Amino acid sequence: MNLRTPTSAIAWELWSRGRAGFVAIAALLVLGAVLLPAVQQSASWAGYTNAVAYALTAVVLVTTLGCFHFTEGSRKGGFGSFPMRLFNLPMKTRSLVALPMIYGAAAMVLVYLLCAGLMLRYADADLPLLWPCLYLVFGLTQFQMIIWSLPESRYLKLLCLSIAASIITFGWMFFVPTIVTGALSEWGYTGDPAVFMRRLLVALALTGPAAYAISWLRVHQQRHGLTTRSAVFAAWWDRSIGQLLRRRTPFRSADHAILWQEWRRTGFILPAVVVVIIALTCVPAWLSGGLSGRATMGILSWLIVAPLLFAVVIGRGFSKPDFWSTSLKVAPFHAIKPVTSGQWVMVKLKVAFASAVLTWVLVIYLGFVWTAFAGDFFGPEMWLTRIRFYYSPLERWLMLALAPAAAVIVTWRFLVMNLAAGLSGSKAWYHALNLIVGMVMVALFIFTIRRSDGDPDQQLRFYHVWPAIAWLPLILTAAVTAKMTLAAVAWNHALRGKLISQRAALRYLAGWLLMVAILAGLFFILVRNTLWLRHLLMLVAVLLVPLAGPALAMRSLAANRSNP
Amino acid sequence: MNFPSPSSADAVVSVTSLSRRFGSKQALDDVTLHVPRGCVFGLVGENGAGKTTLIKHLLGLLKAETGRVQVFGQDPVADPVGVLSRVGYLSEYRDLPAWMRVDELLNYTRAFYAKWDSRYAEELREQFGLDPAQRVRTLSQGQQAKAGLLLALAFRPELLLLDEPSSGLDPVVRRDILEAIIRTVAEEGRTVFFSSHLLDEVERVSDQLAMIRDGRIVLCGRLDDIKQSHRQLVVRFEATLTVAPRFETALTLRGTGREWTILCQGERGRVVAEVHAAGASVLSEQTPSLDEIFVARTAERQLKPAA
Repeated sequence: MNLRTPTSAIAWELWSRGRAGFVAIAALLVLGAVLLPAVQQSASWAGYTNAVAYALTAVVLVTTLGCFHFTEGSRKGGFGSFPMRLFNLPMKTRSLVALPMIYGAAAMVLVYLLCAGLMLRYADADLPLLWPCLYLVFGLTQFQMIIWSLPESRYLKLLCLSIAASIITFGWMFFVPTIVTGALSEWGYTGDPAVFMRRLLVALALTGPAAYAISWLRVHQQRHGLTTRSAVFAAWWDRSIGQLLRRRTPFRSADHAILWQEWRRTGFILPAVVVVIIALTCVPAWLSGGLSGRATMGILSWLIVAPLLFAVVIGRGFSKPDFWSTSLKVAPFHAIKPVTSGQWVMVKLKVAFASAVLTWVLVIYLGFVWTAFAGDFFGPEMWLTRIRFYYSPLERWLMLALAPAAAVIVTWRFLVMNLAAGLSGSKAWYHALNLIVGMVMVALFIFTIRRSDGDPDQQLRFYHVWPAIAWLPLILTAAVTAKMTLAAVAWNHALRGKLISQRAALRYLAGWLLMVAILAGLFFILVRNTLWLRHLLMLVAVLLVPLAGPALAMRSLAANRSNP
Repeated sequence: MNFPSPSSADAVVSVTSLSRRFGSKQALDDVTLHVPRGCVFGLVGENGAGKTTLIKHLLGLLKAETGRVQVFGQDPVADPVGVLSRVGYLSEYRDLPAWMRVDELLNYTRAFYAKWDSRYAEELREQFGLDPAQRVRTLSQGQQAKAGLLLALAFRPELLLLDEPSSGLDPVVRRDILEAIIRTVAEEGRTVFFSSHLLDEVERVSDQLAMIRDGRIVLCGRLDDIKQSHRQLVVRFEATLTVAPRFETALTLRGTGREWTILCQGERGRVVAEVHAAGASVLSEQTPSLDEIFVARTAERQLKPAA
């Protein structure tokens, strides 16, 4: 290939690195174009047209972002910074920054237009073009700006990314007339919603150039070794907070050392992110003045959903050998340590559990504090009244004891969901599972939004699903049987391969039984009268707590260690 | 001619018919070698010859596709704990966790080895001038090499595997510290297996040597034997030659006209007889350095038969 200009060289690099992604995007677009008309015309599946269209669009757009983010942090790649290897190229910084941003923005717009033409036209909503295009460019440029601007501040970067992710996840609602009109009036905005949306559109259009200007400045500083505020902050952090966190005493055992390492690298992330997100939600809500009972319940609901949601997201990284590395291979420094893969996996499970416990302790504490100082008790009171009406005092006390434990178990489950794939070192397996999880999350998100619309047609569509529920006992029973069989095989292999000791395996089994009992106990109390549902939930409890997963993860890690 | 490596019975490392392929590249091809206890074993070869791949097999970081690898009589993949607890390893890439501080790195690594010698570790840390409060990411490449070496040594492993240990080290550390350490380890009855590009260093410290080329062991044995079996001759022909002469025993041949320098392997009598048969006489003879043998072995496939 004859690359004569930097413009074509960078375009070629983007193409070359993202070829697999481009193929996936093309395949998904074709799949959507073929599948959606069929779904729409099908009598029993027509109700899912929107969900399928939006889910496929979301996956295509995320894949596009993955192909065009243009960041790397080490010789193995990563989301660390602007690719610093390009600094010695004879190019002006402004071009070096502009080219990947422009290519990325153009690709996002093009892909959205293709999605609109091939897939979204089958959805029953109005099909806007301008704001989604601007919004996608906003998402990409903000991501690039954060990564490129803060190469030396990992935690600050994570914080900014969390905030940006929250804004991007919910910000689109401000461009949907039906949502924004009601929300603005509830917040006391008396102006014309159309004017508000126009202004917002202008602001959105300006974020792109602003992100470019900031990125240019920051990359210029990095290129010429200029001292930056974030570097000064990072140095200060290292001298102060870093010294406080410094480990000075020896570890009791190898397990203890791995525990410390895993916690420092991964364990603290979920509690930290959830606390920051809660603070970003609760503080503005507090400052905005008196909240209604409904708004209070809305925020409390978000407090409950946030740990679960972020556990799914953070669990993607948690399942890898190193959260911060894009490589799925175990670094030789760790691979040569004389510990079994089983020990390593067990420590990872413990760290995930500790992370989930700390997260929920913080959520419950902050939830109480916030409600006491800023919330309206009317909302929670209504909710409590219902509970008092349905359940006896003993049941209420049991629920109070079991619900936080169940929340911890489910959060933990989400954190370790992908462990076997993440530790395998196989990118194909890892990304395929991530894709499935992503699609399920998008589908659930759309489902929730559509449910909350109060659309009567939407409610009616659920009755079409009703016959499928008859199959649920059979499906769940088959799933439980498959799970148990797989678990027996996987644990047998792990024990025979000396990946874990018999004692540790028995301890995990005891823990598994306890966790299943907690979930089953809670479901048993919650569902009082509908016996079939109660029985189904017992099976769900068995399915929720991982049994085969840890043994498979041990096998994956052992294979990864001997094939770096 | 290759030299017989020690029998597998008393070997710390025993590799038998090991082959490994990465895609279309044959990284290791039917490698067999045995490293006896208490020796310093040097592995030399060009870039991409298969040195690191072989070391990774010894650590269990790669599983043997064909053949067998045993360290202390155990398979490092099947029993990683049994093998790795007795092996100290310095990686060519010094892939230490950048976020840890030096003292955290020491404490962390210490937790995995029951025989960790804290006093020795502290001695080495001071000798290498490593600040315990410094983060690994702020260490220079040479300091990271020293930190890696410290971690590999501090639990006094029975087998020390060093992959390009000199890489990044300055000449003073390389000559005065690294070589002293390697000798000390060997004198204590422990075994050192190291790969290096620096042949003078290999020559100074190794007892035994293996030379690897394109994944195959082309030379293996005691260093003295290897050197003794090679000789460099300057020969003179009676008439001026317009094309290079051909010698069966020659690895390399250079010169013009009547005088030619031959580096060859084989018994002296056979070599001299071949020279005389070609109508030449031996002007001088000397034992080549390891460097010359390596270059000859590397150039062998290209230069034979032409000069």
